[in-house]
Formats: sequence, C-alpha cells, structure tokens
Amino acid sequence: MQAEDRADFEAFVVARSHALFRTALTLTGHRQQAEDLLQIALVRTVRHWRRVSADNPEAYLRTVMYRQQMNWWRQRGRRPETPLPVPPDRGQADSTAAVDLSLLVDTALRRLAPRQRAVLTLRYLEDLSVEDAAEILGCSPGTVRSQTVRALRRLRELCPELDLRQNEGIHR
Amino acid sequence: MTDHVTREVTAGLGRLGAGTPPAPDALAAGAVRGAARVRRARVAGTFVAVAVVIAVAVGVATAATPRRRSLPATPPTGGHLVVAGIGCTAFPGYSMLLDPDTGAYRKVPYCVEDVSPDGRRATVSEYVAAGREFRDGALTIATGQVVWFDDPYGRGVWSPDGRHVLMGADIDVASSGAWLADPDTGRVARISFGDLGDHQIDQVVWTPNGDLLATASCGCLPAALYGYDLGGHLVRSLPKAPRYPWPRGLYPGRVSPDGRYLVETSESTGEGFVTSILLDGAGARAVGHFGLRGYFVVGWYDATHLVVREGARSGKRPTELVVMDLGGHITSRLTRDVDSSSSSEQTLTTLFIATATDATGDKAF
Repeated sequence: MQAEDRADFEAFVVARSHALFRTALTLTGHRQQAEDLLQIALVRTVRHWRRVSADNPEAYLRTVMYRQQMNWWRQRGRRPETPLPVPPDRGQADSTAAVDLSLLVDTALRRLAPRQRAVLTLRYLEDLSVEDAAEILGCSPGTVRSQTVRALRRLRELCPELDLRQNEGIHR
Repeated sequence: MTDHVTREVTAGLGRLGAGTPPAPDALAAGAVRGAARVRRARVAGTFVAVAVVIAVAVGVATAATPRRRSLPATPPTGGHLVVAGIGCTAFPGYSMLLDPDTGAYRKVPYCVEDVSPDGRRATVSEYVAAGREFRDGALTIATGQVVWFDDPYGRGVWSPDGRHVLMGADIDVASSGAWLADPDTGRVARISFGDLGDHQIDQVVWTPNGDLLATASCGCLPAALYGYDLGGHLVRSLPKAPRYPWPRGLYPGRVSPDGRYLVETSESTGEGFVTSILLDGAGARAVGHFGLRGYFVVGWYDATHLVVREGARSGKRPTELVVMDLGGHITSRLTRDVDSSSSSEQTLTTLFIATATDATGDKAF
C-alpha cells in the first residue's frame, strides 16, 4: 500500500471508526466481537482501498460488516455460544419506571437472532429503505420485510411489556 | 408498528451500540497488517493452484472439446406463462397482474409474492401501520378480493395444486419455523418437521407432488435433503453426493416440474450463482453450477430450462426475460412488454412466472 493511500485510509478510519464501531456493537451486542467484526471489515476494505475509496468506502465497509456477521451466524450452525457482558436473566418490570422498559428492550434486542437484529438496525437505526437494506444484506426486499415482521414479533414475545406500556399510554 | 414501539426499538438499538471505540490508529494499523498477511497467503496459494491447473490441463488436453454456446436446433417448448410485474420499491407498492380470462393486466395496490399455478390468484403483501409492518394474503386477480392471513409469516409460495400456501420457508426456518396458510380462509398453521425439529431445517420448498423438500446447511444434520408430507412425516431422505461445493444461504429454491431437479441460487439479485441438483434414487447430486452474471431466476420454463430476467444493474428493460438451460446457456429470449402503459415505469423490479394450464401463451408473451 502506497504512503498516500495509507494516509487516506488512516484518515478515513479516524473520521468514521466511532460510527462504524457503534454499528458493529449493535450487530454483535458484544464488545470483543464488535472489535473483531470491525477489524475484519477494515482488512477487507484496505485490500481494495484504491477501488472503494473512489466511490463510497463507508458503504462498502458497512456491507462487509453486515454480511460477515450473517456468515458468522450461519457458520456457527445457528447455535451461537455468545459470551455476554451481563447475565442474560430477564428482569422484572416496574410499571412506573421507564428505565425498566429500556432494560427489558435492551435484553430482548440482545436475544434476537443476529439476522433479525441486523434487519432492525438497518431499518430503524440507519433508517434505510427495504430495498437498500436488501442490497446490503444481499437478499431480496421480500426477505427483509419478512425478517422485519418476525423480528418485531419476536421482540414482542421477549418483551411483552412493550405492548403493555403502549396500552397503558392509550388508556391514560 | 406504532410510534411508541418504533421509538423504543430505535432507542434500544442506539443503547446497544453505545461504547467507546478502539483507538482509530490501532484499528488502521491492524487492518494494514492484516491485509499484508492475506496478500502473502494468497501469493503462496496461487503458486500451488497454478501448478495443479497446469498438471491437470496437460493430462486432459487431448480429450477436451470446446463447449458450444449457440442456440439449440429445437428450442424448448414450455408451458404457458403468466407474468406479474412488481413495483414494490416505494410505499405503497403495486403490481401488474395478468388476468388469464381477459389477457389484460390489472394494477393492484399490493406487492405480489407468488402467482398460483392456475394464474387466477396471487399471494400478496401490503404495508400497514405507516409503512413499517406488513400483512400477507391471497388475492383473487379477477375480483381484487384479498383473504388476509391470520398473521404475517413472510413470502407465500403456492402449492402445486393451489390449495395451500407455504409461508416463510425461504428464510430462516430454523429460527422462525415454516407455516401453511389456507388461501380460502386465511387460517395459518405451523408445519411440524417430526423428530428433526424446525431448528435444524434451513429451507423448505414444494415438490410437484405436493410434498415438502427440506434442506439443511447448518452442519447439524447428515448431508441430505429431507422430504416431508404435510403432516410433518419424513417420507424420504436423499443423501448429498457433493460434486460442487454446496452453497449456503440459497434463494429461492424450486423443484423442476418433473421433480428431477432442485435449483437453488445464492442471491436474489445478480452476482450470485445457480446450483442445479439432480434428485433421483441415488440421492441428491449437484450437477451444474454457473454464475448468474446479473441475471435473476424467476422460475422453471420446462423440465430442464429456467426463465431468468436480466437484473436492473444490467441496464436492460425489466420485462426482458431469457430462457437458460441448466448449464447457464441462453437458449431463447422472451421480450414482450408486460403492458404498454406501464412499460416506461422504472419501478417494475421483479417478474414472477407461474405455469398456467388454462392460459394461452399469446396472452403472456
């Protein structure tokens, strides 16, 4: 890698690593895995830097991250043993404290299948259209729609307080 | 999804991603070092691969004959085709559906997922709740009436007899299960896969006789395809005899009209590859493997040919279809416009084809 390209790449990493790490952390739910995921995506990006830097390196890197995360999930035989920074026990909701709902939502999001979490991240956190999300994940828009529905349904199963809290708000 | 849930999910994802990132300079330096390692490994691997290729080429050079890519003398004679153009790139989506009785195309305010074998009905989905959630149902094309399914379960694929709709079987059966919907009542029931359980199944597709064929790529099952009846009973097991690498993450997966081949594609939009798998008494053997090169498989043309369309990236009109054999060779082209009034609309992104025994070919092309 030539010095000029390397300087460009380093500047890109300095500018965007914070946001990219957030995405990796959202996808994996685990700091160590997020660092690994980001590092692998950066290695792949730097190998093609001259080509991707002329276009949209961040889009390329994000696509690599999402697809890599999906591949890891498949390669683990859908039986991931993921170390969690906190015990995965589900807390009891205190109906008067909004913070409890946040904790329950966070726990439920961590328990979603990686693909489901990836779809929600693309659709809600990154606010991408179904088609753009499909492009990144390398699947059809119909698959993204289906996964979104399933992810939300699973989230409601894991965290029924979401709907309870909503109903409380309506009746108030 | 309601605004309340949207807010909670978005905020939760934001909290999940909150954390101090590693030092950027360390990340960049690590990436450069990693890329150098990959490059060194590839150079070493290339020398080995070149040596192997030369050795093999010398050994078989005299027997090798160039492969013909010209059209066959007799084009395949397929069944009648029913076409639906899909324009679901924006909210709300719409589709153009052929009414086999009139030959006219109807614009319906839904995204079509699959057309029934007789061409008269279609599984559709539509956005609800401010474009964030979806529901699925069975549309009668002539009347426009929709029977909505009890719960959304993903893309619905019609059974060969048109009596059932298989839901969600093209994606993640392992985590979410596969479901059968009754297109007349809207009732949905989960499919049981006997002792194996959902979590070991990757994909499920229909076979021409109305059974289900399940694949597993998780490595937790013996390498085989598994046939089930609709009651969840295992009726056959086809061991895989690998010739080509068995791909992962296949889409959409369809069995040929005579039940002899299963074709699976790695992606739904270009740049993927097709693997054709021969199903016979000896098991399941991958017998063909080729890159799609920007094409998109939409269905079977006949027992040994596929209908594919040229992808949006190729710059071709969305209504241009070609017929390919299982070696990836184009044997004919089908280039009639879906509808003259809509042919200029750029939002037609997908075409579905179903074999309709009572539609005439002229109405479709």
